[in-house]
Amino acid sequence: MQSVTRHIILCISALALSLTAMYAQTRATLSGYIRDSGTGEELIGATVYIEELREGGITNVYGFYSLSVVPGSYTVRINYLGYREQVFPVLLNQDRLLNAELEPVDKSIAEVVITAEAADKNVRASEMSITRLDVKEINNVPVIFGELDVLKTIQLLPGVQSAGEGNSGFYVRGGDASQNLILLDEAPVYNASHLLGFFSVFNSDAIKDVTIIKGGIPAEYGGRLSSVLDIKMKEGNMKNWGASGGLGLISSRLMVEGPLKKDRGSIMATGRRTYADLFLKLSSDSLLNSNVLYFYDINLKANYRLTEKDRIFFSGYFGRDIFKFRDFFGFDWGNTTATLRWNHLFNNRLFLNSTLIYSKYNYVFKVLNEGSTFDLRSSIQDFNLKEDFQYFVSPGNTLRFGLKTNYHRFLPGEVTASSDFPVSNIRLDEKYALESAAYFSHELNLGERISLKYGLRFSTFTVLGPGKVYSFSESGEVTDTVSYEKASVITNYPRLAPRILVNVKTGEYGSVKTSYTHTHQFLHLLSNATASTPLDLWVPSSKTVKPQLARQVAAGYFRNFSDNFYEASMEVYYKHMDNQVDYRNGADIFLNDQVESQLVFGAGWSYGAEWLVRKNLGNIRGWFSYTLSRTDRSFEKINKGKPYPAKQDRTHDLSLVGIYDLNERWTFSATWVFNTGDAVTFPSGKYIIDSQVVNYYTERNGYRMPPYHRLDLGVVYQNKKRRNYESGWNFSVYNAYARKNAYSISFQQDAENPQITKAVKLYLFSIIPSVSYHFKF
Amino acid sequence: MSLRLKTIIFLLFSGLWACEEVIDIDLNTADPALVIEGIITDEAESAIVRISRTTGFFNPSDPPAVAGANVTISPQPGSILLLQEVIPGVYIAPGSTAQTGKNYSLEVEIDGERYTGSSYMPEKIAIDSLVPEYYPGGRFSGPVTFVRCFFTDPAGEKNYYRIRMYKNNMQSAFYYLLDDRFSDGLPVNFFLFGEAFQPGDTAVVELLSIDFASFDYFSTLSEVVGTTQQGFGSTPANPNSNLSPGVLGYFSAMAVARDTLIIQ
Repeated sequence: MQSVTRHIILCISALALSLTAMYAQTRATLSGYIRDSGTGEELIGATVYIEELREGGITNVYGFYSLSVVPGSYTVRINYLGYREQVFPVLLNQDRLLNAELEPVDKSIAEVVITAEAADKNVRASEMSITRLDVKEINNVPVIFGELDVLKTIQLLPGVQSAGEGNSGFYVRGGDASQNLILLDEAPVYNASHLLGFFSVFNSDAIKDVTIIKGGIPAEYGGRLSSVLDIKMKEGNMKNWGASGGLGLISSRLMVEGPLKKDRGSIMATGRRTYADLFLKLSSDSLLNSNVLYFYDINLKANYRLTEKDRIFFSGYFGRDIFKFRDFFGFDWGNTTATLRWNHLFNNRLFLNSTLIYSKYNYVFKVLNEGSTFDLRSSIQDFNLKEDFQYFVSPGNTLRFGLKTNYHRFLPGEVTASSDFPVSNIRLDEKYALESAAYFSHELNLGERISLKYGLRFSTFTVLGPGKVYSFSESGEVTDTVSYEKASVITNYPRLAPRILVNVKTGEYGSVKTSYTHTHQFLHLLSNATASTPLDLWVPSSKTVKPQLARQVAAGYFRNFSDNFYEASMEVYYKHMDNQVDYRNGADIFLNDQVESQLVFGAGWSYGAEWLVRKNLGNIRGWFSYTLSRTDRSFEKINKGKPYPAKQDRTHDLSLVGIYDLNERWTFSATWVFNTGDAVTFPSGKYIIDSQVVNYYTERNGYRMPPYHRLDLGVVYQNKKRRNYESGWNFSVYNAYARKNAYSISFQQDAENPQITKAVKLYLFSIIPSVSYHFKF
Repeated sequence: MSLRLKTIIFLLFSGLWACEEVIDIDLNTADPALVIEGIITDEAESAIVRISRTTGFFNPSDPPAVAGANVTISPQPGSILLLQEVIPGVYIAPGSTAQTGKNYSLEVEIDGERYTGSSYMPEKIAIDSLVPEYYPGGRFSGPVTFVRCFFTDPAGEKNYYRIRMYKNNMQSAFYYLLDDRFSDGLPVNFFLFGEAFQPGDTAVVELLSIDFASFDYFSTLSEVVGTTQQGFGSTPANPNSNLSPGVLGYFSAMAVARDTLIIQ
């Protein structure tokens, strides 16, 4: 394998050198920003097309485009779905700047448009296994408790599976929930869920654009094995002040946005607070009504255009879950992220984005006891610097390269107790690591039919002192301890990740795409539960824990029909994952300095086929998505070394989404999901020990939960528009035919006759209707 | 602790909607496997070994006993104890005694196959006191009393404990397990949450000092007895046995301290 990798890398380097040298003739550059005329927000992925040359490009995530072509007189068409096309005659005898503001088409038609992508992008773009969602689209899909949630909506896409009932965690192509790189304005989010996963940390009011990449991951992304979920926050209205918000049964939210200075800078702030625990207050039981359980989050973003070539952005997120169990203990946890960015145009072809990022996840557990104190805290912090360049060589020839360095700091656990507390103070050693990467990627059209995107990412992961390194015997006992000095290198992992994608057009409406990707992951999440929990522990790679590696090959056929009204795709993939981590049986990771002795290592693999048919335009829209797949794992110390189905193995996974606009006021929607039950371990016998009936297990994940299916319905009603005030109602019904989907199955003894054992199903939600009110002015 | 906390948060949030129902489910019946449970304590005539086999999960009869085994326990140092079968599958050693601070090994021979395991009996740790704690209750439960157990952990050594509780002479199904990772040399105040008492009930509390292998067995056992939820718990697995080769069960040498409390 090693030599294959080396060959690939050599080929890629040679290709890059020869191809970039090809374009050295006289050219003039047309560049600029494309924005929304109403809000001044940049439009991501708008197309700029030069009619005479039949060439074009799309705007990047900052709304910038650049086309270097032979000088001449051209007609330039600028398009963005949901916006009126603009056409400019351009005499391009020298480099020119063309900024355009597109006008959204009328509200009723704008709602018809549920995707913000170019109509035939599915077929043309040098990318695959990727889906972009517009927040407008998310708003129309019915969800639990009426809470819009991007993480729940992406679970309706092929290759993306829900981690469980009402859970915002997701699995991509056989990876587990911790193998998704979740970025909020480029900051990694370590725990993307609130309240054990029932809600995601992403308030859809604050979000502009959501992209999920399942395969063919571009070289600019790294650090996680199976997918990238890239979330961009709204920038705020550059023209006028406004506010929007919603009142729901479970939570309320408010967003305020406006110009700092008209057309130069803007600011956006949102807040959201749940009040689920108010229901607890209604209870007259003292065990319930004195508990506190809620979360809130705040998003803030500001940007300012210093000059036409320089722009700065600041974005931040702060969220917290608060839990208090009577007067016994308190527990709170959450993420903090901050991103400072500077966009700079060196010239009309070279674009630089410099980013400083801070991200933190922590939890604090407190025993509430008058006079004495007991605190337990744990955290992970990231300090990150990134330089990303984009060089527009010519239309269909773009080069990206950059550097990144990320300093991780882990506090696995610290206990502070006052002397009257029967516990000694404990502080597990902090851990430090530096994760750095350099990458380049080149996107290139080779003639009319073939386009190519290839790249290379070189990463290093350095574990830094001070720290102790333990060696363990087979049974997990410490055999040796070595101490390292401050700032010394404990261990270092250099890794090379080649990425390549080829797109061959098979006519006007179809294309075949193939990709091969290596990804590495240096941080490992220790979690044995399906639901995400605040106590999940991230551990860095070390001498004992090796970096995870995934190699994925994917191929797909993409075809649009009826003038791009329908898009369809079919993809197949195979993915192999090495150095996967799991617990040994009976592992104790709580405040354990030698947590590595509790782990076992193995491999995993996944393969499958995914179908998607989507209709993006018209009164009736929606999609059908189906995944047929298989995911296995093999660990020497689990299941006697025999391969077993992973918990994320789902043979069938199907989603149907339909949206219907009756008229300008009424929109109806429905989703139906079906999936094979999770692979679970059930007993195949029983015995008696210590006077108790004990279940006897023979095979890991050898059984299946019953199949899961559910129908959700939604209605959006817009009130009559008044001058500057729009409002409406969202009605939704979760689990409309009240299927009792099993959340868990437990095996119990009968209370009267302990010799009789029975299976008991726990189901969480029957039918749940909800209503919320939304407004905007 | 973490699992219990998780369960509490989960139940608080989901408890507003969650429901249970008994369902029919098809389970395989595995080939019967051998189960050995061996105990020796510092109390007289305490050595007991039970041998049985697993049975089908929905089979309402008792798992079959294994009779006719040769069973011995050997202290190091000390002379071998030969155990006698008193009822099918139950083997004891009348008149036997055992001391703390010694290693014990168990040997079982069935149909020509030998199964072995060993365990260390730590020094006995006394119970300082048992203290009742009264809770007035709410709508779903009446007033109840729980018990707190106080003892002092010896400094400078690794200690593992199991508390076994009896309510009116019936062994409680709750597992109370503790090591001294956070309380080495400190007074310990163990709140025995779960088993609820009413006035007039008798609580007998046994503080068992055990070795790591026994502790590991009972920890992994406690995760799979009673209610095992698939969903937010870990994947269930057979407890980590200290017997070989390939048997279910354990052999544990324990030092027993005992105290009684009558609930007022």
